[in-house]
Amino acid sequence: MKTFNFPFTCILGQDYMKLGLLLNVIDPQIGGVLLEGKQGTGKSTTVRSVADVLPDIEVVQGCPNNCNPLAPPNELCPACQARLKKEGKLPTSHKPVPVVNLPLGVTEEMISGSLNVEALVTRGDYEYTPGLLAKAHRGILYIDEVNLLPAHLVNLLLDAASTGVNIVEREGFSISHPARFILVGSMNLEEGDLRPQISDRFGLKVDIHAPTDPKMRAKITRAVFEFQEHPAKVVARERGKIETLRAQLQEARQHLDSVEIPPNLYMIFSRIVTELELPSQRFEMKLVRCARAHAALQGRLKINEDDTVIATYLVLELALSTDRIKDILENRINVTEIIEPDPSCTDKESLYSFIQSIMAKIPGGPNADGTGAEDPNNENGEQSGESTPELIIPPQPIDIDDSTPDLTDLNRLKDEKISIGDLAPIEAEFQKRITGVLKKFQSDRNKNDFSGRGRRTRITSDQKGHYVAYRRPVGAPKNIAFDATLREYLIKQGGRGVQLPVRIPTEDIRVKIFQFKAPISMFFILDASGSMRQVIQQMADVILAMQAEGYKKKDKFSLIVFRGMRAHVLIRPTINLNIALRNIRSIEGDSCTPMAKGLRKAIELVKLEKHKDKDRAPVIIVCSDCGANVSERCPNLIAGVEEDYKAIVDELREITRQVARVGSKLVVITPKKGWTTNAFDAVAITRSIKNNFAHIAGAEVFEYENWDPKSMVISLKQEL
Amino acid sequence: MKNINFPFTAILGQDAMKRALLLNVIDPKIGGVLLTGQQGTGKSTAVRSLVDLLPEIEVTAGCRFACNPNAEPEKLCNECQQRLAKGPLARESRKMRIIDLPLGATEDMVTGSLDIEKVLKEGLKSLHAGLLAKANRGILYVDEVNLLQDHLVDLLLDSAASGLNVIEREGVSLVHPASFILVGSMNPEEGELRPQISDRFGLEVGIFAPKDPVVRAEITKAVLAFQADSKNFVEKSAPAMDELRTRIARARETVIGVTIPDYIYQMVSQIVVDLGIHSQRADITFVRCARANAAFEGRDAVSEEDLETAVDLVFRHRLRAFDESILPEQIEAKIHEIFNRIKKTFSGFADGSAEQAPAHTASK
Repeated sequence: MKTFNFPFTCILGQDYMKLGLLLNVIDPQIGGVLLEGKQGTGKSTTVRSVADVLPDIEVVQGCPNNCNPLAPPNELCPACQARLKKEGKLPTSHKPVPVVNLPLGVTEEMISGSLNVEALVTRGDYEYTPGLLAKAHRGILYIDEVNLLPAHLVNLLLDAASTGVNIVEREGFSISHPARFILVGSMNLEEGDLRPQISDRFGLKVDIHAPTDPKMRAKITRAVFEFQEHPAKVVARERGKIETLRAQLQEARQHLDSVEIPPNLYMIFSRIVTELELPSQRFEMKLVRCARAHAALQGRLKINEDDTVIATYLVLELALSTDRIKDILENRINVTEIIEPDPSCTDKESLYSFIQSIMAKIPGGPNADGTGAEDPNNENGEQSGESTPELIIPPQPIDIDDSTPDLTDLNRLKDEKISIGDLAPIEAEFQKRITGVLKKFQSDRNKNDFSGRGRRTRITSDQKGHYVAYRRPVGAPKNIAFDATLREYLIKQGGRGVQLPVRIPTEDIRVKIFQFKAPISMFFILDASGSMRQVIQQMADVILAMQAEGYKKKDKFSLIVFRGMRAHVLIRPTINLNIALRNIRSIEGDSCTPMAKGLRKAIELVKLEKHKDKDRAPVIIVCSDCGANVSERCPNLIAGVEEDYKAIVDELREITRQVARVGSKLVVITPKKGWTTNAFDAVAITRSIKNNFAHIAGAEVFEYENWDPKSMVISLKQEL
Repeated sequence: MKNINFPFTAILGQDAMKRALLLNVIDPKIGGVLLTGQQGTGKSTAVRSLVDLLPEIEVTAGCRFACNPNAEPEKLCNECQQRLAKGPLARESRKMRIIDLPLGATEDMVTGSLDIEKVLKEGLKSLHAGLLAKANRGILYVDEVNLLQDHLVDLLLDSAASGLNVIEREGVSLVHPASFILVGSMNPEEGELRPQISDRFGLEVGIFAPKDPVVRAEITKAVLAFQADSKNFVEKSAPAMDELRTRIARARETVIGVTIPDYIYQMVSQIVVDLGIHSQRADITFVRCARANAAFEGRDAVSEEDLETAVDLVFRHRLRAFDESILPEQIEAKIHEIFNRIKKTFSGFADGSAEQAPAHTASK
């Protein structure tokens, strides 16, 4: 089966993405590319198509690991090492740089490799089936939706990427082989952020924007359309161009080392990096490498201004994660001519203006070799002296807080108080604000190195989700993990070879363990007593923000309000935002605080939900000042004397125990100073209620002084 | 026992849904359709009744994947390639199929799994074909697609887009062709699809129950008649069904020959840009959809009427995904406002009064 890739040379626009990929192919030590953009902007298409223009590499013949025959023996895979020892030299052949796709839903075994079951069964040989890491050695490893990859796999990949070696330790064997690859990831930021450990791993980052010029888009549509109708024809037509580009790349790879780096280039880059207050030395390295690779791509042996500008753009985009660089550079560079010279590109003048503005600050300038170089050299010396220990990963220098439009939205959110009764006419506005809160939250999350996805409970199951591991069956085996079963059997056979048909003893049978992400059920309990009314109104923001995020994860959400003498279930567990909006309007304040009732209702709902879907993780979120004053036993009596309150505290303690028993997580949001009664020590009462929550049900109690929905959403999410 | 489906032509109203399904049959590369609407609006009925309209396709006899015997050798499954090496492929003709993906489907069921028996008995790696294999060159219907686990949805869309099912598990790697029309249905009140996913459905149709009591009464009457005597009912609508079937078959043949005037491409892109949609898939699907519609209507060139039809099918879900603040009831209005505005700007080109599309440089 063969399929055609959309030819690289037919991809219109997206010059930075193309360049980023090509430069990495020329110099893999640049460290990969992260492509960030919305769906349908051609990320995957481009990565797949780059495979066709990649130059050949020399490999050991028949080595699944693509070992480099010229590498020192300790950098070969075990099979090649054995061969080298036995035969004295290694047979070589050529093959194109591999592009390996890491599919969503990949398992650990697929990545790192596993025992070859077929070889064991048919020949009784212990053989290792190379995984995707082995296949990607000396090539490109492409991870689509890298932000959605489970944490344990990310760690596996990062380990290999940083050491350049993949170590496999499995039942019966242990193996290590080289695994150096160009990491190419793509993601859509709206679907969740990338943990900084991963994003730091990528050498370059390219923000991909869909072209907005209808003419350009029309051209693209036409090209894609033509390709979809006649793939073979289009590929054949482009073959010449592809070959030229491939030759160009091959040559660039060979010439890379001979590209001359002007001595003051280092200084220019250092200057740029310090101007932008980036502490890591890594950026300078990447800048130099990129500029050099770009010069090599163009067949030049000397780095010029073009190379510098392009390197700056490509490298610093990742560092800044803001529009700062873009503001300066956007639309001033047209890099099409690299692949296909375009005579219409006339704005070369403005193209240099940025770099010149930076260079103007450097005495001597770029082309004034030697003259005035002393001064900056000194300066540079100092700087590098300071920055040597800074190879440590820098804290993400995100400066967007005061400049992005999202924040203006947020500020408004804080100033205006939204009355729940007025919700109806401003529903639309409301949804916009939630988006604002979420966006802000995303950047905060980045700062705190917190990933909401990672903490979400993963639930193992014997039938639902992904096959992640195996175990001995309890009772009759259901989903037999065929690979593990056979492996178990074969290992016991001790490699003696196998008689077909194979008879596997029952004790060797293993069953699959599946895993899936558990959705959450959130039960918000709102105190709508007079003392909490203002806060309650804003709590709606928080709930809706939480809910908007949970929407995509299929989290359920319900709302209980207690006030007056009773507790009401306003929203039964649902996953729909519209229903929620409709119901929240009906909240009104009242004077009493029948807290026990509210909790009781929540417990009922939790139990009910457990019946419906036992995999859901319940979370009860109580938002109250904990000034409970109505007992469950006497719903018509408002507490007046201290004994009444004590009874309520006892009652709540009992209910809290029940919350713990149903296995629900409890989060309490409460004002630091709330409810006041002069008669007796009210603070002590509320304190003991809160303490009971914390101690008996392990609740997380958030006490706030000034109500701030933003921080609330953030802390809540960290909790979930 | 033969299951009798409600005849497609007897479905009253729901023109957009019916059209979207038919256009996909005419040009499977449109990329499937997502039907959204509440329960009881006829989504499943329409999909199931589509079975009786599907054209005959030529398949390799005995092939589990229903390979096309006329395809280039490299597009065949491995088994057919082996057969081909021994001699010409045996052919047979059968109807295009609709495969249902049940809600509780596991990954094994969808992609197929290793044939344990064969491995143990003969030491061969062999595949138990999954639903994707069965759906090759047919329709895969996923009811309540929003409740399906994310990784399964991804898997489906990956196969639908690439036309291949790659099984790389348990130390074994296998590939087989799996190109199918993905039809999903969902009730948005039960949760939305991730925007990344909904963009990959070619078309989307929002289905609303008719509010006109007269229409509703007609529908009830028809359904009752069908339930009372389905055979008779089906026979009555046979001529209409036959006519539609021939029309589809003809459209499938002519669709490739339909010309797309230059200005259409630009008009489409202008609409996409003005709507604030970034995905290039929108542009491509739009043109495809319009072309299929032209073929269905028996036209030999895409006209503005085709765009008019396509505009309702292509943009709704994408607009929602790209503009989070838009309210559901504003979507339709916005699409039409922009479409009409752009139609006006381009009106000169449609009737031929302006021969040249505005300053369009050849794509080279």
